[in-house]
Amino acid sequence: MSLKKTFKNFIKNFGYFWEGFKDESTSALEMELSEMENGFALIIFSSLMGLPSPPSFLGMALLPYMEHEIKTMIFKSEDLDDKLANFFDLSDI
Amino acid sequence: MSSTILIIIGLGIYLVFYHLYGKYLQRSIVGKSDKETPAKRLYDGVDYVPANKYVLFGHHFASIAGAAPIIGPVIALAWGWLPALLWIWFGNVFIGAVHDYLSLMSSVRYDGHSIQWVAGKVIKKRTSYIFAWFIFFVLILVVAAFGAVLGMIFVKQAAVPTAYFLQIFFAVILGFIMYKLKWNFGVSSIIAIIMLAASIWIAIYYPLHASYQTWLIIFLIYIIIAAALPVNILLQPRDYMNAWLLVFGLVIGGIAILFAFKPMSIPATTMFSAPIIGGKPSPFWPTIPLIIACGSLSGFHALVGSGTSSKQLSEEVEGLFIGYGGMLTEGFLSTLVVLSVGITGAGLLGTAKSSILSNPTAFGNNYIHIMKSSGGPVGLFAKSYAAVVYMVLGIPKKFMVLLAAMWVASFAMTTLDTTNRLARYTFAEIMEPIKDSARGIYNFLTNKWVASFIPAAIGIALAWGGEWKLIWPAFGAANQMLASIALFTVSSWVMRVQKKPSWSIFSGAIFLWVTVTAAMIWYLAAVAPGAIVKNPVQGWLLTAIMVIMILLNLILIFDFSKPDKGIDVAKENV
Repeated sequence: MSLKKTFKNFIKNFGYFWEGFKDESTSALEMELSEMENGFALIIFSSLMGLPSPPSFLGMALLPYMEHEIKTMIFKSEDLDDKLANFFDLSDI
Repeated sequence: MSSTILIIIGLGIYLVFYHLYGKYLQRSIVGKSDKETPAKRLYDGVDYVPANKYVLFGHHFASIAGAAPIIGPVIALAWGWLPALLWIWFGNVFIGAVHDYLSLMSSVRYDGHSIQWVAGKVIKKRTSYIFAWFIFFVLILVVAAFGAVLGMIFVKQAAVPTAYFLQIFFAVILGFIMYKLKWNFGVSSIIAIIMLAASIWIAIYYPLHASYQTWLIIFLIYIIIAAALPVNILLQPRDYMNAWLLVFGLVIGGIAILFAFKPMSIPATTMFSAPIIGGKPSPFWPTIPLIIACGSLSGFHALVGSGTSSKQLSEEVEGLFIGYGGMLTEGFLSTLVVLSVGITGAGLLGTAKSSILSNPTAFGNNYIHIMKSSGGPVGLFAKSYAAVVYMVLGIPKKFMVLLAAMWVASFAMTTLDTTNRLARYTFAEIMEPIKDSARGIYNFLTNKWVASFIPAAIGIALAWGGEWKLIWPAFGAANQMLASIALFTVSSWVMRVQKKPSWSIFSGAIFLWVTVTAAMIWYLAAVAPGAIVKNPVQGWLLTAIMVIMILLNLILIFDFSKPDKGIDVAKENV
């Protein structure tokens, strides 16, 4: 591999590395967003989680647009016995 | 010996062990799985997302690298630079990196579940509960240790709090620019760097003076309020500015130390029992893991690795680079810290105290006092770091002292407020058994504000007397015990699920368990009585935490020797 190519690769990989640093700082925001999506999905589609609430008109109207939120809700319900690990990622120690 | 040669030796050890021992673990212990990683198999676009390995490495490293790998090694120099470096290097390659890598991989094999959850599966349900208790103690002691260290640096270098509070103020403005005005990301980044530099320059001229106890009260209020603020207002923009601080600090410091070509100016070894913990003669073994925690091995990393990294790993083969490599990079950061203080130690002491340097015993006996007059471990690190950077790159010392102190203080403050959030969740989890029998008490104790206040108040009460020499080792003990549980968990996973020889991991777990247990017993016998006499509240609190941890420790080893046979571990391994 030529020196120029090696240097280019280094710069590219350092860019990825920096992207990871940036990603770490936005993880708190992403987590809050997913919590809000989960909360919203629970309000609208709690019947999917076994909570006794009949689907509302609003729920039926929003159903085609909420694939992502419903997925989030289902994943979060499966993770209910293991909540801590997600939070630990937010801590710098 | 020259610092440059020491860096090359350190890098050489890391490279050799990464390729020999790391690859051995990857090939013979973890092996190959014919299934895709959870990031691909369970892709949801939120938590489970396959990431580029360099991006994930950056994310993982930024999560595990905080203030602890800087503070611990600075304190450990009381034993001399050689024992500190050896513990960092060999603790890294044989225990710390193994712990991080295998925690990550066991989590990957269990759909990205945490190591705490895996412990409940491969050992006993009770082990998972013991895990939660240790986590809670670590979190309280983090608040105490970081509160004490920060309070000290805020008093000694009054410009640091000004710079820090300006950074918070600028972070809120940055959040507004990024999320409300939606300015271009590149422009926002340039503004962030200008704001960081401006906060340091302004702070030089307008220091904030207050007493140690006043700062502790401010920390208490801050960590409770910060835990309740929406993340986009403060936490996210501040973390983004911190990422710049970390990168800038690492790159500038790394270049300066690498090209310093200076000999170490402090003794290589001082004495076996240097007066460190509570001012008592502290034997290097078993007390060293109580001082150097994160730079060598840290239990917290198992939780971080199994929280997000395992859900974003795109190929199993990349786990070695992320887990093992990430820990070695943190060890390298600690190596830089040791070298930075090591080569500038003589200059920091001044000519009046140069006689101390020629006598290793005198150096060992006086090092903690010298550090105290510099503003504690953070103050000493900041001064030495600034001296090296000035020596090699010519950047003004005053600016670099503040930048280095800000670097550590920002990470310590981030840890303080996020830790309190975590302590709140952990507290709710350990209160779970009384949920049905005492509903009212459970509801009261797990209330958002009460659960935030309890760990914060205990932590600040512990820090109140300013005895960081007592609190830091207690934090180290809890952290290292957490690492020990994680190592026992991965040993069980290797034995029971992977059906592979686990002697190398198991021997690390046993060594750590014996060392930290012995250190905690030594702490109770040699340090706690004096602490109780000096400050009864702090002394008894620390003693109680230590005693509970030792008891949990014994239950842990019993559970490990008699794991639940009923759990079909192979079936659980998806």
